[in-house]
Amino acid sequence: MVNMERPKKERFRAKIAEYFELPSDVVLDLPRLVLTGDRQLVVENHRGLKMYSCTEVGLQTTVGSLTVSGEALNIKLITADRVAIDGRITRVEWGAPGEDQ
Amino acid sequence: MIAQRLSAFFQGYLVVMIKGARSEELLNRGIAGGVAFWDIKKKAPGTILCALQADQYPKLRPFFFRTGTKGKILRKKGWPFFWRRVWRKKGWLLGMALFLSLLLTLSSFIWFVEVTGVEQLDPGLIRSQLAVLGLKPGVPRRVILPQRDWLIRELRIRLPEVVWLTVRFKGVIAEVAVAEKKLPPSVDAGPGNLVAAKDGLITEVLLIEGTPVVRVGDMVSRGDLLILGETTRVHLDGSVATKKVKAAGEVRARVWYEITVDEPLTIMEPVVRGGPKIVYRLRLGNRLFTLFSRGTAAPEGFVRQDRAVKPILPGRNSLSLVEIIKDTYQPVEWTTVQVAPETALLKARHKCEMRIGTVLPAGVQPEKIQEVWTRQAEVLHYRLIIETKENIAVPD
Repeated sequence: MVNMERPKKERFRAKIAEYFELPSDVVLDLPRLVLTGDRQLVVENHRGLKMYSCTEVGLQTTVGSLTVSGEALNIKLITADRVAIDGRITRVEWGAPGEDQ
Repeated sequence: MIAQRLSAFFQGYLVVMIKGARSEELLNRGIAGGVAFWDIKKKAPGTILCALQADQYPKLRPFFFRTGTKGKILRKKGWPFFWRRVWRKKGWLLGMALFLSLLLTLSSFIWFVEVTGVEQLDPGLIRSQLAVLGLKPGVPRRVILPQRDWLIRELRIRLPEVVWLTVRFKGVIAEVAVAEKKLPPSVDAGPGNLVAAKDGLITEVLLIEGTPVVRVGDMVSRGDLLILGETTRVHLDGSVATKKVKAAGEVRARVWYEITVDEPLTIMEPVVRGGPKIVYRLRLGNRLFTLFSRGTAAPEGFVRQDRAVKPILPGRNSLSLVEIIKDTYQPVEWTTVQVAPETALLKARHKCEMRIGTVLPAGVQPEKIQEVWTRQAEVLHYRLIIETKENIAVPD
């Protein structure tokens, strides 16, 4: 459903990336998430911090909002393109594109 | 991340507290402006602690106003701030520099000469020889280090009792490891007699040197003279010449050994009465404190069945100084039990047989074994008499 709503240009890019086996996070400008156990989550290519508390971290990305829930969450590092979240991560949830924007 | 932390340390960084409802927006604006934040912690609603490079803090100033937040520098960390603090305390810096230079200077000398591996030799003698060769406390390392091989060679020449030695330099310590020559024990070649080492009945005399003073069938006691260290010669002219020699030979004799064991015919045996009692104690060094007990454990009528020891805070000390001790006692009633004489005899015989090896000299086998037992009141007296044939002649 989400794919159907994407603009034509984006769908073309996705097909090209698939055909030439190119990394889609680079070609399509998608966020890249690396979850290490339940200890650390590294999000690359984010679009800003929406909300931060000890139990929840909200991030804005190109495909919608990302909510990370857990206990004793700390933002270990945040730069223009990278966020590292430490703590006990219990849930990673995507919101719809454009939600809360 | 490590590279970023190292860079922050060397450039200096700040720990900042940001207060305000829109603190996340401030972070976003900062990030958009090229500021990197780390160690972000939410202390309270609307209060965030974070770290950032010191030179990037001015970039945040306009955003504080726009987002309605307030920033407060809590700590200044990293090398530039540390150096600035140190530079203000010139006396401390001078003291540290002096201390380091003194440490470096003093560590360039040998201050201790340790001698290891000596058994007979006097370590003081080795130290004095080393001092003559130039290795003594206070000598600079740069002087003595090139001379190490020469030093070992010279010391070996000066100490003929040493079979091997080496010199190792460990910081301010010069360690001399020595292996001494093991010389065989000196043989006494002077005249001497052979005497009896123990009581016995002589069965054989084998003479090599000296004059025998006993014959086969003689009964001798410990210390009696067996072979005299003297030879007599009668010359053709009738004169008698005596000469002192070292007596040599063997005098074999029958020797008796006796092993005695008293085995009781009446013994006290505990009979279990009731359930176990547990006592917890705390040991502090040599002192023992009773913490609590499950059931009353009177000292009499109880037998300790088990002891469990749990060391507390052992640390690096291998001797546990603080321990919790759990003792389990079993209430018992002592009753008199009669032992059958046959059982007591078997026990006594077994005990004696176990002791034969400790009584007989090495290499001597028993020729005859005789056992005698008597019963007196409630005790069985058991005697094991062992007869051997052995050489009893020893130098006096």
